[in-house]
Amino acid sequence: MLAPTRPQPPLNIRAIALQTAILGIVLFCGAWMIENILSNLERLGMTAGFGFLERGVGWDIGFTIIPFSPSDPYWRIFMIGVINTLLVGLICIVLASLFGTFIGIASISTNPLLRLLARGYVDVFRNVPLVLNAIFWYSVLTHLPPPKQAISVLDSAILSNRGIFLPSLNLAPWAVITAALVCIGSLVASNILRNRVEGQARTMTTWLPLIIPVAAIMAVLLFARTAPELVSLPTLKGLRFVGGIAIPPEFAGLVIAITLFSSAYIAEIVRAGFLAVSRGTLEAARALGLRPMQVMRKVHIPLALRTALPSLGNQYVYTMKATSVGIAIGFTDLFMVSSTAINQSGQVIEIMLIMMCCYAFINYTLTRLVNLANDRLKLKGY
Amino acid sequence: MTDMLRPPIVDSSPLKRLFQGMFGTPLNAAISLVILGFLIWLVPGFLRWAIIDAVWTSNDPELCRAPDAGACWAVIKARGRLIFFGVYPIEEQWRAILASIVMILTVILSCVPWFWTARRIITTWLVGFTTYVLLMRGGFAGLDYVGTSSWGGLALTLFIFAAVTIAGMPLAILLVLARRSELPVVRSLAAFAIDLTRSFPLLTILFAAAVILPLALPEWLSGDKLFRVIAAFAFFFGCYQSEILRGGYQSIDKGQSEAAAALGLSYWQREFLVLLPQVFSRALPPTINQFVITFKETSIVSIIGFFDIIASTNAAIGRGDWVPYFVEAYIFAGMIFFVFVFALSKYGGYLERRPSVVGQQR
Repeated sequence: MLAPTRPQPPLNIRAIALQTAILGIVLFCGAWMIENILSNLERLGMTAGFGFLERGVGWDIGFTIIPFSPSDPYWRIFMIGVINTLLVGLICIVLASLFGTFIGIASISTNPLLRLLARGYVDVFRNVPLVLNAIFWYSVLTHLPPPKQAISVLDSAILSNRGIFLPSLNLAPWAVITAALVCIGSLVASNILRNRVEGQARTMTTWLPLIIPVAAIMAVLLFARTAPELVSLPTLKGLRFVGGIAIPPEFAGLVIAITLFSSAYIAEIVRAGFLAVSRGTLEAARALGLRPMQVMRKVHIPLALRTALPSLGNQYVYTMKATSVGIAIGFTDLFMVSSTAINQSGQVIEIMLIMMCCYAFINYTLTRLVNLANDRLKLKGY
Repeated sequence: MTDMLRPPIVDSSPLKRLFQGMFGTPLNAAISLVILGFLIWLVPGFLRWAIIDAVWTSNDPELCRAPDAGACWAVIKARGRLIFFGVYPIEEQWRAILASIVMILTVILSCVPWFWTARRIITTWLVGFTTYVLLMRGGFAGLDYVGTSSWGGLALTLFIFAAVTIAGMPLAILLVLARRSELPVVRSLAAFAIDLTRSFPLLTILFAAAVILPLALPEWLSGDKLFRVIAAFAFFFGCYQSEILRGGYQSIDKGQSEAAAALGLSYWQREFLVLLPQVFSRALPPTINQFVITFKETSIVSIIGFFDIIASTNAAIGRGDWVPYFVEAYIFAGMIFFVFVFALSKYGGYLERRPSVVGQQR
């Protein structure tokens, strides 16, 4: 409303009145809607508040990696929902990044056949909705042969309409997770320390990240066995499979669909990143005597990664949000758990609030992580 | 010395270049051989399944059950009506066909630069949309009334898409003006609403509109479930589109606004006559991309119980004899989406490569 060039805007009564009115209307509408919901709920005979979180659930859940029984309290199913969403989201982000990078590089290769195939892939998967993709792969998986006629791949993996069964290691999960954390920790620590210490300690920083992971893996292999043999193969016992890990069709279908869908987008981001590196820079690297592989590894990929990172971050957040289509094929992610809980308990507002907070928190954390990586990798003046 | 300065000989025959690209280096040759092998293994089998052995026209699924039968496209012939128009009454189907054509025509027309003035584009969409609704709904001039609960398939998808963009675009303009406002309360409210909405999956927002809004609003305000969902979808669209427009604003020189102010134009004149036309032409490619995304995401409504293309495809193969032919049905549904989305995104790509969009304003 004000002329933008005025140096010191005087106290503007009109602006203040307008803003007060707007704020008042917004607050009033909000209060009115909440009041409506509360009185509606009261009429339906329900009590508002978060007391229901301690109540028993009373229904079972499709997919969970932590133990659950229908008598567990409500807060636990939200935990399961968050874990499932994170699990699918992170698996899809990792797989789609790998596959998408491969497709992206293929789409700028010198080989016209490879280029054509990569372009075709991107065009097909970017132009078909994710929901359709999920339903399609889920249908394919549930139409696989029944356990008796299941398809066996190399005598270790089994494909059947009950899901995909893969060989697993007979190791305690907590030990594997601890070992993985130790490995990552030692790598990170040595990377941080490398540039801060001198002499003897510096040599240590190159050796420790090798020795510690090897030791951790050995320790896990030796002491954390849950059965005498190391590898557990899925085998048919009666009408079901025992041993190995079972991946239910809902989970596998969702992961396949989101990965294929997301990697088409990531391929485009990666491609744009590679094309954004100026030709002069690459020619300069070549002129300095670097071999093609070295140009790729030391110049092209680092610079392309920096260009691509912000868009990649957006895509990761999108991928995380995309897990919510899991409900179309019955995967118990955060959204499906919440909507079932709303149907069963009727605590609409509380559950909506919990769900939205969880999504906001997950996406906020992811955005912060990507921004952090971006800040660390950013080149000054490039 | 002179030898080294001579330009490299480039053979420009396309066939030779193709061969050079495919087999020029050992690595490329290996890759090409692998791909060719894969294609030789895949393509003939696929063609036999999809075309040669396919069952094209038969209302009898028994024919598809023959051991050597390929794709059963007969399912499309038998159930295609459901995929395109849902459970719209069969004797009134010409109305759904006509209405869908009108809507598609509206989208095509708005891709022609002649329509790119505020008045023309708004008129086109309002006329197209009104014609669509009148045709589908009926209830006048001897046309039977058909309620929205009988709308379905492609026709419903088109309706949701058109309604969302028509309601969402003014909302986007409003939101971007609010977010750029000089009034701190307006600015922070808009920023809060936009950022919050963008951090949730579309599905959760549509779900909230379908299930929770009726509790929060009195009966006379909450209306039909379809319209609540469209309103929420439009708000979601508005939030994303307003960020695109904000990007467009940032690419415009500050002098434009200052010059307009110096000429004595009011705030609304500055925004609507000077800035927004430029913003829209700058932001055209991402805007088209947003349309593409929106068209694809209309498929989400199938999850909360509407009979769009996806849900009606599910219904088409859901029971009876056509269950085993889900692959054919889903491929067909995918192809419908592909045709629309691919054409629109290729058009967006073409606009992006064109040197100037601004010159085409009038």
